[in-house]
Amino acid sequence: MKFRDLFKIIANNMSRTKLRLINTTVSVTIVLTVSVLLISCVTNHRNYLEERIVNKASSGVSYTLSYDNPVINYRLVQNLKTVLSNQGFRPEVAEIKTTTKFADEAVNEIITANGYGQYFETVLYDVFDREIIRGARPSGAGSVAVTAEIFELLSGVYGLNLGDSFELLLTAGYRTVSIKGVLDAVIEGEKEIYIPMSYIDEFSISSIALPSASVKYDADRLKEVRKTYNAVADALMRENIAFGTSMEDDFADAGRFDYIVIPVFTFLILLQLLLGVGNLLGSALITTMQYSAAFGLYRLLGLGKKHIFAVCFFEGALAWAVSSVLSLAVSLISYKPFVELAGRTVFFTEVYPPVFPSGEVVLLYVSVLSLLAVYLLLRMRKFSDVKLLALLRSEEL
Amino acid sequence: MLELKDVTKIYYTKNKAVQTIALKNVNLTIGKGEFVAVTGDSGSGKTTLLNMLGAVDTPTSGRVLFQGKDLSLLSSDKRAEHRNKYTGFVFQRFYLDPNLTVSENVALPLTIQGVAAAERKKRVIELLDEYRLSDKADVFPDELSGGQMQRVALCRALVNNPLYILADEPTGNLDSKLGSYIIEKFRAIADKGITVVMVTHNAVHTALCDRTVVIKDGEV
Repeated sequence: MKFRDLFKIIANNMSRTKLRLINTTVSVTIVLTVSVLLISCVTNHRNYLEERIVNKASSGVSYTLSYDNPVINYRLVQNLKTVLSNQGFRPEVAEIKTTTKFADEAVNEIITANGYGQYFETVLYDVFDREIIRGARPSGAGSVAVTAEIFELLSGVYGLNLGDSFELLLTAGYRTVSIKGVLDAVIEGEKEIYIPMSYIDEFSISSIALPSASVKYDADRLKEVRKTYNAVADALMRENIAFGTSMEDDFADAGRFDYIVIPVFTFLILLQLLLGVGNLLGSALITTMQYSAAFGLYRLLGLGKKHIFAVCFFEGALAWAVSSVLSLAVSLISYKPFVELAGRTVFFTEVYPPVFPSGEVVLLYVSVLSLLAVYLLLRMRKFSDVKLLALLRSEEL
Repeated sequence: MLELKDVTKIYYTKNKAVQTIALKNVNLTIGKGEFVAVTGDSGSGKTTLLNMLGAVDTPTSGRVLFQGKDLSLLSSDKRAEHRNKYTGFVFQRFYLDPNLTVSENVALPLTIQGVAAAERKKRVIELLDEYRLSDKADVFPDELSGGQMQRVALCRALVNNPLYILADEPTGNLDSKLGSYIIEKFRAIADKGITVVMVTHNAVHTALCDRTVVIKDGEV
């Protein structure tokens, strides 16, 4: 039999068969349901996070966008300021403080105090725009702040006291900068100490700037908070820079988002792929059932096994392909907002851009397909004559 | 032309226990152009006999010969090929594919054989004309009466110019008038030299056959 004729006949069968419709409907429903659940999950989490940001902002506390990429340059900062400016934030409404933060993962900070050569993590704040920073510094121009914790380290571990001089060796990417300073003062309540800026003139902002931007909003600008938050995120995304918000206090766990949602999302994508494969298997089975009678008749009239196998496999593969493409499309559609969300809310350097599809997924697909092929071969081997005899004893075609 | 030699067919259960002995050492010879009726009680082995003759099933022991060739030695696909080339089947329940039109149903054996569409069409039109079904060529089986469906099945059985036709109670679902019409057609077919083996319970119909084979408990 010519395959063309056979497929034509099968196409006739398919178009008139309710089982096909049911199967397709079930497949599409499963895929869409999983996708909707997924999107819903992500959206809910996003709303949750944004709500927290707004709440946080409503209390007048600033939050920080942290850039983990050590090669962020001055232009990015300018973009950020432009974006905020375009959003209508005037200095009297939204105070923009920008500081330089060397993130742990991107930069190894080596702070050597009084030659002790000890390592400790974070945090040196410095400017990437001296004009703004100087204006914003409570202690006035020429100072750099370290946190109270750092001060405690400096004083507790290294024995530094106010008025002592020290040297900081900062390694940012490929470059190390030496900064010499003197512990100057501690402002009570702010728990900060200030180091005279005159000692760090050699610090080169344009070449090494690794900023984090702290944007503080007034409580009565809540709507703009979200608006600006998204605008900033969009601007940074356009720069193809991975970033996220780093919150203190109750926002500290926001960074865990990626560790939970990304594996969950990956799992769901795999699940959808498996559903696609499962659908192939199901389709093949349904096809076998569906065409058992018809194939029994065709077999009776002389149809060869290879034709039966080919049609079953072709039909199953077709159903699989359609459902898989559909599944993949929906997955990707839901993946985009997921990526954007994650990009705006968590440290996301390693995950963005999307890692899907991975080699493991492809391998999984191939493995399952191979198993399926073996299964079909075995099944088809038994199929023809058994079904033929069943046909002859059956009540209906 | 067709010969059964000591054919025994035993159906086993899944654990290999004997379930049914459908045929016991059956010996039967059927000549070219013969119209043979096979009768017997329900479960006596009539359909099994037909399955043996049609190379649908293979015997547990014995030989099924067609023009001297042992069909039971053929592979499953070779037997399918044999059915396609030399055999026509007619059943009580017609077994038409409900998703194909009348002409497509009739053409099925030729389609499976790989005959070109034009040639198929020509042959189908001839048969539909002969059996007064021309106006039904493009309708689906569910729009046909029982008699029309059986005529379509008959056309399908004849479309590949078979050497023999196996009919399993072909008039079982038809009224007596239509039944007689079908039997007359079989008679005419046999008169043209095509062997017809028909399972029937109808004594009137057996009267039109050249001879009657009676099966009881798997024995002829």
